[in-house]
Amino acid sequence: MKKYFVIALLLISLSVLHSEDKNSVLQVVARVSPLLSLSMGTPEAFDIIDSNNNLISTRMVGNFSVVSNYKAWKMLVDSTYKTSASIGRLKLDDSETYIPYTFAIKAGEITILSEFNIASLIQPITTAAGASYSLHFYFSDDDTIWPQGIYRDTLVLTVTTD
Amino acid sequence: MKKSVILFLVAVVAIGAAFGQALPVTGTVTQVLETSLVSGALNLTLAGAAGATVPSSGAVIKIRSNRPQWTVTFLSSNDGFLNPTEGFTNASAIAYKLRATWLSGTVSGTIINGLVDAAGVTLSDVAGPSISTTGNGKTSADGLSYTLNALVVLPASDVAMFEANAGLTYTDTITVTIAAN
Repeated sequence: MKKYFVIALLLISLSVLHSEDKNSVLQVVARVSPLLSLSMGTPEAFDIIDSNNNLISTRMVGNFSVVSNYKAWKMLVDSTYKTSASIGRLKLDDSETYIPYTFAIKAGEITILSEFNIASLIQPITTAAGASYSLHFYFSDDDTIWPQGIYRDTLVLTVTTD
Repeated sequence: MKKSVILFLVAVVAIGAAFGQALPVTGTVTQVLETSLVSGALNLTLAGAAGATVPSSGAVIKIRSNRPQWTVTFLSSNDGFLNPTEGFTNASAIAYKLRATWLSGTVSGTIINGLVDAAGVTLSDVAGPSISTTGNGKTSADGLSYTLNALVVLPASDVAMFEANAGLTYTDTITVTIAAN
């Protein structure tokens, strides 16, 4: 007798197993590229003697701009012919004749620096267009008769985060 | 007297009847509902012209789901701001946006990408911007991939710039969650 073995009944069940949802964590990191620069045109020559042969007491020599994204930066000025921290000198070409002066660097109406090699007041972050400053010279007339000619000094402006 | 036994057979035709036994077959399907970071991090170097938009490096995220409808949500720990690192906490936080650009993969249904805007989407929304599906959103095993970029708009020329300093970075953490709808 033949026997046939067959599957008479199939029972199929399906189930869905839940797994934990897998999430992700992403880090966002930004760094700001540092900027610290100074730009100034060459100051034009100016008269320092008026028609009465007196020293002109005040002269605005020129403007310059600083761009900085450092929160606290400072400015320094040095003079080639200075005699002290507060007194510079303009030297007559081909001579040892000097006209003394004092100076101020201003932000608007506020003086931020008036001595050589002494750091200015701390300055804030500027805009991308930069912050503007002006350089002023001051002279005291003492009735000295100054020889005619060109008087010069060289100022070195430095901006620093130190 | 003949006796006959009738067996009702389900599923399989039997020739003759001799011996039958129930054989249970059980199949399981594990739910797949996941996001994974395939590559990259969102790193930004903030430099350029005033007002310019700076994109980050790209990170690729993959979405895989055998559930038809799902939502992937992006949540910023700082409400869409990059905060300065410890020691520079007096620096100003930097606002940023997130953009998700489709890279690969398809579904039968419709994908709604809430971060597709080229200018990015703010992350300050409490619910968080999302990518979701309607209809059949089941993915292939390879999933859907998106490139993520953070975007920062540099200050205008008449506004103070972002602060720079050695050791100063600005950071945020984005948590990407996926859930079935």
